[in-house]
Amino acid sequence: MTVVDGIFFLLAFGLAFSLMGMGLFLSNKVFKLVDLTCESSFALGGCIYGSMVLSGMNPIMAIAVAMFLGYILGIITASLINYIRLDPIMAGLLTVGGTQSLLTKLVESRTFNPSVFGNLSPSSNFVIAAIIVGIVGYLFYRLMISEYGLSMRVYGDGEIITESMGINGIKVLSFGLGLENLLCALSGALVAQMTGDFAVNMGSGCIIFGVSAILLGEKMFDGASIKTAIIGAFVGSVCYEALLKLIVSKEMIGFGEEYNNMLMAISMMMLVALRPIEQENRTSNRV
Amino acid sequence: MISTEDAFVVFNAGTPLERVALRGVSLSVQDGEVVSIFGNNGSGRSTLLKALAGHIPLSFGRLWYNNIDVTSQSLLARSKIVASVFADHTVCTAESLTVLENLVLATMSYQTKSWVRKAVHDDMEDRFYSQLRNLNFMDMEQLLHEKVCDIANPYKHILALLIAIIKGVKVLVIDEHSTGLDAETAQILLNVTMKIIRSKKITTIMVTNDPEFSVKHSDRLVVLNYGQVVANVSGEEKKKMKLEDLYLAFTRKPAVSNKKAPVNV
Repeated sequence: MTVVDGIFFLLAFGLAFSLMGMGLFLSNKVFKLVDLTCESSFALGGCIYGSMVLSGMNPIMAIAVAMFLGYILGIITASLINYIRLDPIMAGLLTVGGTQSLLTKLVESRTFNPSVFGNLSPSSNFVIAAIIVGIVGYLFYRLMISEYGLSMRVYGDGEIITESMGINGIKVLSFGLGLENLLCALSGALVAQMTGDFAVNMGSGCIIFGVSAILLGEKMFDGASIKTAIIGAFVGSVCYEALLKLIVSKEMIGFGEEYNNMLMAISMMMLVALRPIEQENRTSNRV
Repeated sequence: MISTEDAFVVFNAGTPLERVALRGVSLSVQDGEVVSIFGNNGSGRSTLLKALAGHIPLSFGRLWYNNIDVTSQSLLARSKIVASVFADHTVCTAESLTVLENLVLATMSYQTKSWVRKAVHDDMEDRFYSQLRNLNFMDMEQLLHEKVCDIANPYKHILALLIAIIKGVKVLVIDEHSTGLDAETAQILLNVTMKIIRSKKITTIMVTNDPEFSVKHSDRLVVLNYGQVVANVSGEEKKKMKLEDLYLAFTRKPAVSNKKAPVNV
């Protein structure tokens, strides 16, 4: 692999994961809750896309189905929170558990050769990812500064103020978590397309990835306005995933994929521990 | 007119930790009236205000607004009628939004929100800037782009008040919003609050930690003890009342100090 190809390879993965970064930005920073559902929606996106392409389906169609199923997963978690009044973490765990056993039943873990797009070169992978991320990112930003986006951002400040502002908290949470998991599923589908591989457990560690990527983004960009906060989450995830891939990928430094989660755990710990002191005094930048 | 009828609020009902905060409060407030609630800690003042604002449900009794039963209304529906300005500002302002975004959101409360249209426009910024400058409250217009969690407490309470005004609610409940401020700032805050309330003729039920101010500016004084109304004075009687008489009423015992709800709650 040449140096240019290597850079495209890393950036393509970074861009694919930045979609999940944006999704987790929505649940972590906007709603201020931890949504574990992303782990299952990422795996679901990859597995559904992979098996549908294997069975000869149009990849665009497969991505649409994966995104739709991701949205449904988010709605399920939101309903558990809204109607059964479960804790968000517990609700996410229930969805993850349920989805994992379903996926294990439906999808056998196997390596596949994405036939329709073919074995794409890193540069064309990068172009595809850049186009998708560009469109989705712009739409996401437009949504966040729209009137509806403003009402979504209130939800993170508590249910009482949400309802006092005349906003239906149940609807906002359902749509928000749905959107988050839709983005995660899209991210999973893109990753499955790039690696040519999918597995039921491919989503494990997604939440740690997202939180660390957002932390990294906060280090680079001041999250004072929603615009810089979104750019921070995006750039943070691209850099974080590119760095991780650089270390673990067989073609690069070559630690091996099995070190992925350990590296994420260590780096997240360091990102939190090495937080500058003045940041701790700021009320608006809580982890 | 907003009124409570035999309102009971019981926390942890049916457990050893059961605590009755309100024991049959019947109180009606006319349109445009400003009522001050007094009482010692634990007398049920805050509980009454929270029940009126819909933050906690009544265990027993009725709540009427203009002869409509609103007892079992959701918070979403109640907040159309009643707005709150509480010492705990997290329930009355959106902390992670800027001051401007809070005000903009209040202008479009209860409306269908567009997914495409930008929420904050330049002309809104100019409008709110001049409105805040006219309010003349400690240079608040300079803070339009600050996040609410980064500004000082008195501004948050004024913001909560402005949100209520913009939403166009008919009833306001205020719970010790000048707590923790120095005497001068507290006076400014209370005066501005009263100016806004009187100019918009909003029905107000308030608890302040400045009894002198409350007696001077409210139309009616209500004293709670043991979760019951022990004094309710207005008109001529209120004019004659001195602060010392009011303090005496704080310790007045209700006729039945252990009043039970008609049914087991």
